[in-house]
Amino acid sequence: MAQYASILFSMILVNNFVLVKFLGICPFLGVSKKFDSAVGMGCAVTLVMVLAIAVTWPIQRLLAAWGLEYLQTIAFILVIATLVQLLDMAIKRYLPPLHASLGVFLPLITTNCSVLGVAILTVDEGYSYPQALVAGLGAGLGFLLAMVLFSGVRRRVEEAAPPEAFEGMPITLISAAIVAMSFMGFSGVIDHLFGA
Amino acid sequence: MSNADTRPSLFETMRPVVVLVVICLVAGVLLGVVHAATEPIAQANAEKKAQQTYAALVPTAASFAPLTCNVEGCTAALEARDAAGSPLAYVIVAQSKGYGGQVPIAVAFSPDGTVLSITAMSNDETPGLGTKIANESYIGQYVGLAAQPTTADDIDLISGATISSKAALAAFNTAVEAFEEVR
Amino acid sequence: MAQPTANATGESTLVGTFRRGLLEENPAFRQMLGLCPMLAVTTAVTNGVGMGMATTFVLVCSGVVVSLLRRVIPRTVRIPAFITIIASFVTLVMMLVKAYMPALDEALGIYLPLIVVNCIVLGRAEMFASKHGPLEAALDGAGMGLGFTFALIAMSSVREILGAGTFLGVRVLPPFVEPMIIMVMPAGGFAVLGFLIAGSVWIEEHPRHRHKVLRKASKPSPSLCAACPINCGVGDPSNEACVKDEFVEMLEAAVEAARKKDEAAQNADEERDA
Repeated sequence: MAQYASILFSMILVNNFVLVKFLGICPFLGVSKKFDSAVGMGCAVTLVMVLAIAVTWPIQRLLAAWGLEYLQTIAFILVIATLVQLLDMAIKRYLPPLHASLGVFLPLITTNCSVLGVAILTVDEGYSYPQALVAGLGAGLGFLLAMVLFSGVRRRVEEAAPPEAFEGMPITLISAAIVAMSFMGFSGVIDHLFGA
Repeated sequence: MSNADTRPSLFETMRPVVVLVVICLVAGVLLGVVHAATEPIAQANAEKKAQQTYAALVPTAASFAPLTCNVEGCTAALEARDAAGSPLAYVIVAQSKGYGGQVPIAVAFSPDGTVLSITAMSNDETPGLGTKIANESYIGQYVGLAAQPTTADDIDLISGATISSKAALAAFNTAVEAFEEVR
Repeated sequence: MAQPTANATGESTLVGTFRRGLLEENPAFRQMLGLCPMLAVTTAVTNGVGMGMATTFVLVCSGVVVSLLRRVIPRTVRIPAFITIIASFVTLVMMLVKAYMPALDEALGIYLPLIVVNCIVLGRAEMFASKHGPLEAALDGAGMGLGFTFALIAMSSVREILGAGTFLGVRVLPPFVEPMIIMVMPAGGFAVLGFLIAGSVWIEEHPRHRHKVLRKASKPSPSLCAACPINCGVGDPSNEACVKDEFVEMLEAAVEAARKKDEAAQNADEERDA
């Protein structure tokens, strides 16, 4: 149990996908202007990450069994693209209320590098199936956390008046740097909490 | 609702699928060919690099015989032999999770159980901080230690790179465990 | 903001096609594409150069293939087809790098396969290569790729010199200057990119520094890749880039039709029961 907790929290805090690993920067900067859309995007990414791992992990086993590991990238990206498409359709068909809140974000996720990133990363780490699923959940929740925190920061930044050259993207990136700095403080936490 | 009506539309529906499948097949076959051509080179590279690491650890060894190790985190174990074939040292490669991924180290133990030499292999730790574990001032502390479980009390960790230096320590303990198994 | 496509047809010379990506439409500083590798691998100049060259290779090759196949691939499945082509070339690069440059393979790690989802590559395939001939597609890919490489080198130079005190591994700062480790940490990545973009805007806006190439350059595009459905940079980034993808529309129409059919069947059942 401690092992799973360690994986989960280190994915959320220490190896935060956005702020430490730099995966999924586009949605992080693009969709974090409003709190609601930040939460929606974060939830959609979390859902897709867990499902993507649920599918790609067995596929990796198959590829390895056939000696085709080198097709990993192609197989993963196509599977993830199909998965997102199917998920979008399924939610629209069976859970219309959920589609209203998450649906707009799903098509954005296909080529989001954080989803492919987490799939490849869990393979590289050699996680078992449950470990990989927990890692996917942690990566998604970490993304959600970063989005939510940053949307709060951003509301303040949007109202501020920085020097002209810094308006827009530059000042957003610099505030992201400060949020990333705060996450550096977590690096020792997991070590002491779970003895990992 | 005759068959004649549905046939052209069926072809039209199938065309995208056929094109996609053909592209995938062609890509798969071509990659298979390239893979067959590059894989031996990549493996030879990795092998050469590993041999260089081992040779740097035990310069007097004439050959290295691979041993099996079942300790988790131990990726390779070898017996370094002199020209006559008698064992000079045991080389263990072990790794542990650090800040940016696995931190692998290679340790050479003398048959009686002291650390002859040790080296930190390439890792993804933070440049300029976690990568300091490869410096002599840190990794050199292990030379001469006995092959027994070591704690942070025996080693000065690098301030600011606690996780990386602890990972190297954990990898060292794994190597000790593996050494006990193979000696 | 300049219309990139209009620009392309306006100065339809091949040189123009090549040069566009270098400055005016620099993918990283102007279009804000490919920020993930931009931030992640730029801790050392060698990594930046390696990443840039790998991306350029994928851009040129996938551009040529997409351009050659542009009449064969049906519009409805073009995105999956492009992704497959791009992923093949990325895998090819991975194999070559692993075989001939193992050190670079270790340094780039997971970010090498992630070129697949680099917005620049799919964006250029969709926006340019699928509409132009192979030669133009190759030049466009080379221009964009080198522009991206240039941005990576600029970023990694700053980070390596300030963060590690070295340039290409050679110590350049005097020994009494302690390197600022924060620069090679994630936080420094965001900050350096922010300052570089601000700097490029400042140079462009400042009358004294106004340069004829830069004057033509556009301001960083406010519409980020995430604003567009399915993939970043697809469609025209200068205006509402986010035209809904046809493939998605087709699928949605199919789902809608299926739903209506089900409902109709249900209604028919109910009527029969009644």
